[in-house]
Amino acid sequence: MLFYKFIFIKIIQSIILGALILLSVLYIFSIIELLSQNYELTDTLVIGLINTIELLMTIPSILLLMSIILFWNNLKKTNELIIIRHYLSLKKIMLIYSLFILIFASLEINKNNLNSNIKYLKEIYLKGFTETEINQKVFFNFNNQELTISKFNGLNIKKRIIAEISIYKFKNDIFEKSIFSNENHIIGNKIVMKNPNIVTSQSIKDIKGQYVINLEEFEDGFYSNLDKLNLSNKKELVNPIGLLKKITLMIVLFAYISVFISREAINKNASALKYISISVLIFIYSFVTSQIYLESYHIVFHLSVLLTITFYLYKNLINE
Amino acid sequence: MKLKLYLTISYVKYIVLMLIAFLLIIWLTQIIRYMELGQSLAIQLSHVTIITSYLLPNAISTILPIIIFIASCFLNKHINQTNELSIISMYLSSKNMNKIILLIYGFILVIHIFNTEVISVNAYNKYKFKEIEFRNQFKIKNNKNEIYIKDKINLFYEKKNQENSILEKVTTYLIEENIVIVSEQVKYNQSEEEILFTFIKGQRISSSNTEKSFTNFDKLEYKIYNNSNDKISFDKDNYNFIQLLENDNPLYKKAAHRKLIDLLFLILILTISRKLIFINEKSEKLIANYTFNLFMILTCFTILAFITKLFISDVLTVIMFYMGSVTITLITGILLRRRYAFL
Repeated sequence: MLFYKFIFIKIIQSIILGALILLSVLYIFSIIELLSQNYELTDTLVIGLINTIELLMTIPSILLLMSIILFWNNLKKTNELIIIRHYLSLKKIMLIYSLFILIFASLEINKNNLNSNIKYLKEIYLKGFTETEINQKVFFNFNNQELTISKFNGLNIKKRIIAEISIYKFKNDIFEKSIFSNENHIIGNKIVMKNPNIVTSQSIKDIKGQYVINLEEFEDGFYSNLDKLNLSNKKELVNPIGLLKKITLMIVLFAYISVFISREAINKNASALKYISISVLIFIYSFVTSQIYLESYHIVFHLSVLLTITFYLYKNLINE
Repeated sequence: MKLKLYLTISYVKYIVLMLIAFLLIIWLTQIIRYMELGQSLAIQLSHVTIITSYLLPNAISTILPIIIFIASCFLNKHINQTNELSIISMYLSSKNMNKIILLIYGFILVIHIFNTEVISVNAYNKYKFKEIEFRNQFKIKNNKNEIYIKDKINLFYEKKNQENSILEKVTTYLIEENIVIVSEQVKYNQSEEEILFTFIKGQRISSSNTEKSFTNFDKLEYKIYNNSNDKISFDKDNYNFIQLLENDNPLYKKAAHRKLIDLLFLILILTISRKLIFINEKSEKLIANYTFNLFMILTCFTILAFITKLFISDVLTVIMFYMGSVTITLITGILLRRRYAFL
């Protein structure tokens, strides 16, 4: 048990050390970028710190890679890694690491949301929340065979008013109706459109009364700083490309461990350059392939990427 | 001689490795930031990679001090763990060791000045041209059966005819005009100045403050013009030290003074690193030492940034700026030197 605790502590230490080094470099980089801009002194510091976290959140998995390199580098030189490997197989070490891999994989998967929140935080800090007015926001809501396009103009969340709302509804690609109002209020969790105008394929008429929209339809997007959002209720259904990318990410993170904790790499004289280069190559390969979109054979392409990485991991495990 | 060479290679190896690693990280973050601008993905990666590569010499100047510090910590940890430090101190006098380190640092300073004054400036000039070219291009996001041009158009299609690129079963939203067009087919032609969309058989629906309508059509054309016409505007990074000093803009002159303080900060780091490399202590104490040094360096850097900010906003005069910056640098240097005085 003590042995596992020792490894666990060493992993955490290397993550903290990696984060400290990365944050220091990125902090200096962001402060220098901000010096020429017209911010107040304290604003420069606060925005610099927010930018530092934003930069780190752009590629969170790099922190895990860095911590694995630090873990390997620190324990290899004192022969502790050889002792660890004497008692534990690569699979068991991977199992210990799996908790951290899950954390970093979820950070990587949710990095767009996290970065969007960080940007929003920065905007709030700069503008002051009371002044927050978003010029326009457009939602495309896909719900089974239905599509709803909603456009909000002059949205002020603090004052809870929206200058203009236009909603277009379609069913099976056929236009059903559109609703427009310039008397709108956010009441509780609902938007109330007063005296709306309704356009259908047969008529255009003003309605005395109100049309109510539930804010939950827009999920967290309503309060985010994004000006255009695609929403879908098909989230529960499996998106094959998304799933492939997520699995590839997990396999890549495990592959890093298999590179550094392999029998050859744990030797005191193992070349740092060789193993760091291999991991950088894996990183670049996974990064570039994840950005590629093909109009044809897209799924085949991502499947082949996943298979390549999986075979590489399998090869490393078999060699043990 | 071999020992001297070994020490030199080890130190330079750590610096170069760290520099490459952090440059890669910064490069990647810049690439991702640029890609968020929403260019068509096919052109994007190679194009953006080239554009952002021109920023790397500038990034080297920025991160070099902290990289040297981190590399020094790693070298010290390595030679402590392997007892090489004891062996080195047996065969090399402190004078000899200092000579090697000073030689490396002299080389680093020359490279740094050459990079800041020549390579960075040239690369940044190229970056400005490429960046404007990139900015003025149409930013079209085209993936997953969706075509999107920020604030202009959002188009969803069911399938694309690979032979003639005609989109079928299309729902288009013109964001600016607040108009929806549902059509059976859409053809589009793109040039540098405009994109022409031709909608075949469908309905045009408008439900806005200015227009409420429903229209059936057989053919409808819609053009989006590329209004991006940004012109190149040079900033302080486009000039070297002499050009900045000779410039009439007072902000550029201040940037020249800042370059000198940046150099002073680098010298401070080199001074600290020179001491740090040869610390001989137990592992736990080493980590505490590194952390203390890092904290002091970051504090010094933040105070220097504050002084620079005051200088830029005309609160401090040139003399006060130099006095403040030199004092802070000296105090940091002295504080860290005193800590290692017993070693």
